[in-house]
Amino acid sequence: MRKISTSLSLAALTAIFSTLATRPESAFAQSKGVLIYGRGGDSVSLDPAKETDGESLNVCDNIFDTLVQFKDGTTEIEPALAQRWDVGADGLTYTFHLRPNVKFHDGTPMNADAVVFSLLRQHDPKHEAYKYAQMWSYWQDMGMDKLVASVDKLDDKTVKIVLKSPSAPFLANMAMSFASIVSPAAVRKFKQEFARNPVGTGPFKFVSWTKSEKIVLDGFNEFWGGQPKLGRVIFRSYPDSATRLNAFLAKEIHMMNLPTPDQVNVIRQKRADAKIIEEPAMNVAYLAFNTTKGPFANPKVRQALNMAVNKEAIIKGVYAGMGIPAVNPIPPSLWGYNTSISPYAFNQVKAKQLLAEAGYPKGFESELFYLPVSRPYMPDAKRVAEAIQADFKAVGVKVQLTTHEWAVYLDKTKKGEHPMALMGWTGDNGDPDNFLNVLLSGDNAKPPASNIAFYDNQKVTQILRDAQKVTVQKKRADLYRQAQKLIHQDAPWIPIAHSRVAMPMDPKVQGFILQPNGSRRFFRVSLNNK
Amino acid sequence: MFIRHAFTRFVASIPVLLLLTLVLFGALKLIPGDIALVMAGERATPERVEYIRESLHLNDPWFVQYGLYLKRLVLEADLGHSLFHDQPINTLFASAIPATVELAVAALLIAIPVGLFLGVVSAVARRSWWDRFASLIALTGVSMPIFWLALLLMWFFSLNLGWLPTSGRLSDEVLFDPASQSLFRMYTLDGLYLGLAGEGWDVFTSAVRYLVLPAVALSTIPMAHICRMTRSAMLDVLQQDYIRTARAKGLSVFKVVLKHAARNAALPVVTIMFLQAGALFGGAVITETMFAWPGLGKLLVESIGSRDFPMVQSGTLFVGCMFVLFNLMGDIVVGWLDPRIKQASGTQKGNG
Repeated sequence: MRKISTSLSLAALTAIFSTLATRPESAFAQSKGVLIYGRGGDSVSLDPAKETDGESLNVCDNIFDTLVQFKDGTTEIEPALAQRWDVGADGLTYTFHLRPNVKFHDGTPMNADAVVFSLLRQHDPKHEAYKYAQMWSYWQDMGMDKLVASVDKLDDKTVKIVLKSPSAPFLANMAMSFASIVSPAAVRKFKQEFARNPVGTGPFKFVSWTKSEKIVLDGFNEFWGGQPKLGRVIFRSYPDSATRLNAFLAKEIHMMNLPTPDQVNVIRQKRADAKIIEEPAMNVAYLAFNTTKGPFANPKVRQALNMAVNKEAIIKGVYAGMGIPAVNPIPPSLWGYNTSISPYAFNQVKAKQLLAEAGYPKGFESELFYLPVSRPYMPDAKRVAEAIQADFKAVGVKVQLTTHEWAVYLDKTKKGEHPMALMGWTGDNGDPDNFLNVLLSGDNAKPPASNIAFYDNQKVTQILRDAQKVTVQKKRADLYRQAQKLIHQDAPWIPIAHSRVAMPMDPKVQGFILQPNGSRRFFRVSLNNK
Repeated sequence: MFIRHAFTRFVASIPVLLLLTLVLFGALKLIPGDIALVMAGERATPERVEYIRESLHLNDPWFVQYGLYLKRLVLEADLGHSLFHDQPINTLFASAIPATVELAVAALLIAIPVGLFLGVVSAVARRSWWDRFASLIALTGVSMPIFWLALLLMWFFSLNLGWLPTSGRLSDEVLFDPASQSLFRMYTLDGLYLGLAGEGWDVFTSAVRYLVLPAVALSTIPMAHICRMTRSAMLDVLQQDYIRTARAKGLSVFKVVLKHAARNAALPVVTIMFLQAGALFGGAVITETMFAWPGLGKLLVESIGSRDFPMVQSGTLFVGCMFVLFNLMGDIVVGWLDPRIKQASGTQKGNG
C-alpha cells in the first residue's frame, strides 16, 4: 500500500514538472535566430570609452564601430567607418574620409561631427561631454591624451587628427573599442546614463539590460556592412564557472566563455556534439631578470637559465595544456612576429656549462617573486614558480620564492626590488609596439618602470623608437623582427607561455571565430536550425 | 510593558550599528598597501590613482573621513558611489535587494514548515525511525556545503531529469523583458500580477521553475537549525508535568502538542527563525553566485573581485543591518509571546 502511494506521488510530481517543462516556445524565438552567450560576469557599463574590461567591451564591440577595425581573426587594420585615410609625410597628420550614408541606431547620421564629438569627449576637459565619465581610462592608458594635438572636422565627411609626435601605433589605437563612434544626440540625451543606453552604428542595437542577469541586443537591419544573420544576441552572466558549464551541458546557452581546461575535457566527454575552437590569446607570461642586479647583469647567466626551464612541462602541468610555449615577447598572432628565431632548447647540461663559463660553476642563490593573483596569462603563478625553482635547482641555482599583496607586488617590481619576478601582459591594440616598447624599451626602464627587467639596450630602444615613427607597416614589421632578434640574444626574460582560449559552442552556431584581441563579434554568426 | 521592552531593544541596537560602521571603516584602513593603488590595478595612470584618492577623501585625516562617511550615511541615507560601476550604491542595491528578498522568502517558505514538521515529529516520536530520519536530514542540511548541494541539485534535476533549469531567474523564451516590464523586481510577483490580470501565467510558471532549486539549496541550513531547535524545545516541554497531566486526561497527542506544548516551545524556535531570516535577507553569497541569482550576495562578491571598496563597505553594512533588524524583530516577537515579559513591571526581567 505504502509503495503504491509513493510511486503515485512521484508520478504526480513528474506530471507537474513536465507540464511546466513542455510549455510551447514563444513566437519570437522561433521567427528569428536567438543566440545565448554565457559568460562569467556582467558588463560594468556599455560606454566603450569608459570601460577597460572584456565583459563590457565584448558587448560594446557589437553595438559600436570604429574608424578603422581589425580584420576578422587578425590584428591587421582595415577600413570601417572611415573608407580610407591619408597620413601626412611628417607622420603627424591623419585624415579620415568617412563612409557616406551611415546611420546610428537612433536614426541620426554618422558624420564628421559625430567623430569629433566621440574623440574629443575623452580628450578635451572643456568638451560638453567630458564630465560624463569619472575617467576616460583607455584614452589615457594608451597615452592618447599626451599624443593627440587636435581633432577637427574638415567637412561633413572628413576628419583631421593631428598628433604631437609621430606614432605609428596610433592607427591601431583607432581600431580599439575606446575609439568607437557614439551618437552625440544620444549622449546629450542620456548624459552619464548613456553608459546604460548605448547608441552606435554597429550590427546590433541595444534592447535591454537586466543588471547581473542579461543584456539583450537585436540585429540592426540597416547596418552599413549588411544585415546581421542573428535576430538577437543575449549575453547571460554566470559568475560560477561550474554553473556556466552546467548551463552549457543542459543546452541552456549556445556558447560558453572561458571554460577551465578541466571543463573543456568534461564537455568533450558529456557533449560530444559540441564544437570547441581554440586560439592563443594575445598575451605573454614571462620571468623578468632584473638586469641591473648581481649575476643577472651577465647575459650568459640569463641565457643559461633560459635553457634550464622546461616550458613544455609547465604548460602541461600548470596550464593543463591550454597554452603554447613562448619564444618571443610577443604572441605569434601579432604581425611582425619573428618566426626565424629558434627558442633556447631545454638542456640543463648546456645550461650548467654556460653558467660555469659565466663564472658560476657552483651556481648561486637568488630570489624569485611570483604573482599573488591568478591572471589570464598565468592561472597559477605559485606553481609556475615552483616548477622554475626545481628546474633552476637542477643547474645549481637555488631560488627562494617570495610574494606580496598584489598592490605591493606591482609597486615593488616597478621599483626594481626583485632579482627575478614573474609577470605578464595582455595586448591592447594588436600592435607589437604595445608589447615591445612598453615592456622592453630603455625608455620605460626607469622606476616606476613597465620594463621590469630594466633592460636597456640602446640599439633595441632606438629601433623601437624608429618603429613608432615609420608609418609603413611592412617596414615596421622588419624593425620589430630585428628587435626580437636582439632581445632573444640578450635574454632579459624567460618568455614562458602564451595562454590559449577555448570556446565551446553548440553545433548549431556557425561562423564564429575568436579574435586575437579577445573581442566577441556576432555579425557573421548564424544559428543553423535544422 | 511590552512597548517598553520593544523600545529598549530598539535603542540598544543603535550603538551596535554605530560600532559596526566603525569596524567596517577601520577594516578598510587595515588593508595593506595604498587602497587607491589596489583599486586602480596594475595598469593605472597616476591620474586615476589620484582621482580615487580624492573621491574617497583618502587625503584627509581618518576622523574627518569617518565623520563624512557617517554624515552621508545617516543624514542623507546615501550609501556612497560605486567606483567600479560609476553608479550610486543606492541604485545598485535597489535592483539587487528584491531578488535577494524573493529568494529568501522562498527559502523560508520551505525551511519553516519543513523544519517545524520534522522537529515536532521527531520530538513526539522520539527515537523512532522518524526521529533518526529527521536528524539525518538536519545533520546533512547543516554540514553539506551549499556549493556542492547546488551542483548536485543541478546535476540531478536539470542535467539528468531535465525538469528544472540550472540557473538564472527567467527563461529567455518568455515574452517579458524584466528590464522594462518588471514592476516588483520579483518575477514571481510580476508573474502573479500578470496572471491575475489575465495576461497569461507563463511568466509566473517560468519564474517559479527558476526559483525552486536555489530556494531548496538555500533552505537547507535554516531548515536544519529550525528542526533541531524545535525538537529540543518540544522535548523539553513534553517532559513537563502539565503535559503528562493533559495526556493522562485522555487528550490525543495531536491536541496536546498543538494546544499545550506548541506555545511554550515556540520561544526558542521563533528566536532561531528570526536569526536565520536575518542571515538570509542579507543576501546569500554562495547560493546566489552558484545559481546566477542577481541578488545582494552576488553583488557583494563581485565588488570584492573588482576591488570596489565603497561597495564592499556598504554591502557589509547592509548585511549587518539586516542581522540587527531581524534580531530586534525576533526580540520583539518573543517579548510579545512571552507572558513573563508582557506582564513584567520592572525594566528587564524576561529572558526565556
